[in-house]
Amino acid sequence: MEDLQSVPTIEDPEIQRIQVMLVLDASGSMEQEDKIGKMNEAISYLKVECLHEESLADSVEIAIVKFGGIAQTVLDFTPIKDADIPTLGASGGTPMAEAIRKSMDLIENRKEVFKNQDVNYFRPMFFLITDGLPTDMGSKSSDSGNLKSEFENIRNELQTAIIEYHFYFQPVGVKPADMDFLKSLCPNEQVLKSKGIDPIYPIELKGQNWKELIKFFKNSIHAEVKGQKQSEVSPGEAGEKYLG
Amino acid sequence: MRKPFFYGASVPSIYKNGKNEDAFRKKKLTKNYAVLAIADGLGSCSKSGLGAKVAVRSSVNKAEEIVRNQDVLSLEFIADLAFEEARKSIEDKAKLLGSQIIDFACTLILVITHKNEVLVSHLGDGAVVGIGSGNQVRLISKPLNQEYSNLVVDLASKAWKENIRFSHHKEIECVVSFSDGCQPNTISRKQGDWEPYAPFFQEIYKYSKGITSVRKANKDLKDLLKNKNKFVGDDDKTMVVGLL
Repeated sequence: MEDLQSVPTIEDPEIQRIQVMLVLDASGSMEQEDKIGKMNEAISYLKVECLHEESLADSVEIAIVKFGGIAQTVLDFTPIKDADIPTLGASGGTPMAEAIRKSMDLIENRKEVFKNQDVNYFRPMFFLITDGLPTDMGSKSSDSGNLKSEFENIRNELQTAIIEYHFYFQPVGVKPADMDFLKSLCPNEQVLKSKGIDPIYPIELKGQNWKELIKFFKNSIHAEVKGQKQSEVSPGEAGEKYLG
Repeated sequence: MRKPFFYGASVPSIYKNGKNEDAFRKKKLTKNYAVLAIADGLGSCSKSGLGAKVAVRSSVNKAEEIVRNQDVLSLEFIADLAFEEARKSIEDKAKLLGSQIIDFACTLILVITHKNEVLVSHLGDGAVVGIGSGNQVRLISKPLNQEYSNLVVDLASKAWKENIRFSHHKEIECVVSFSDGCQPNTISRKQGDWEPYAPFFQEIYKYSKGITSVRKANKDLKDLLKNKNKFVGDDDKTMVVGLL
């Protein structure tokens, strides 16, 4: 053999996947100032952005869970190049707790599929966008003498999942979102640092800078695939990190 | 060509503007020993490319020093001390530059050979394949099976020592070591375990037996690694082949 150009290599190797979970507020308040319309445009733009990035086009799988009236999976994990991004309408209350629970289940279920199919994958990305507070805080129930709301259980499950590295979590608040509430969803900074995980801060969307928000999402996904630190991905013109 | 001999190449990711965070070094030592080292700097760490260079240089130099100065040698003894030296070297570099050791994080594969005996000490991803008599291809050191693709225990981690995997093999005629950038096109996951793509390694072995110029072999290997039709993905790619 004169050189190595005819050496056979594995053709079409299995691409490493990254799950991108979008949990989107489609409650009645999102009608105001056409936030729902702008969010719909932005999510379609996310597909465009990912398809333009060679390292993401084949890797990203996208899923969408909306919460407006009910929490509903409107798109289960689909390769982004094949994904038919749904257009959401806005109505009803804000069952965020149920949406978070559904999303976490979808992520773990998809990981099991990957494992069974010998598909390598990166840490999933979980983006939550909301303009308000959940309306499914649940009724207080007694539990060994301690009172816990259903939402507190979900918050604990969410924080545990983040600390145990099940996925990367990025909440985004659209005005008039309660940023303190969104900050309360994120695990304590010191706990994250002790696990070698960068602290998480919610982003407060600046004005109607939805395109910039999507660029930030894409950059976060790209950083994850490249093994770079999320703390070094700047939200830029999308908004500010809310430190509390 | 007189055995053992080694040839190798490393090409940077096309997305990194020529900045290669992989490094390798290979050396024939006295008394029929040889050593090769491949390191891959972690993308999230600012000086990881330098860490990789320092790790391969120091570990190979240490192996050479031990072989030159000791009479009775075990491959494990050489590998142990060489690995310790690699860790110490990045600690020292960090102190010298006023940085944290984490900035120099890298994986490390160390292969020590004595005639047809091979010892691999392996921290992180990348892999080592051995070809024995009868053209038998074996994966003699696998990538570490963490949950996520780019999650590794690296040389800067506190748990570095307990995460080194050792494997000792005899009757190896050709050994091929490579960083994770080469994995997709050379090894694959089947039923939860890794398998080498035998046609690739058998052709590499065949080519190696016909080498008359190591310089040409280095160039041929480099051209192969740069061939986007043969090696996909945008990671740095490093491969070293040894004929024993």
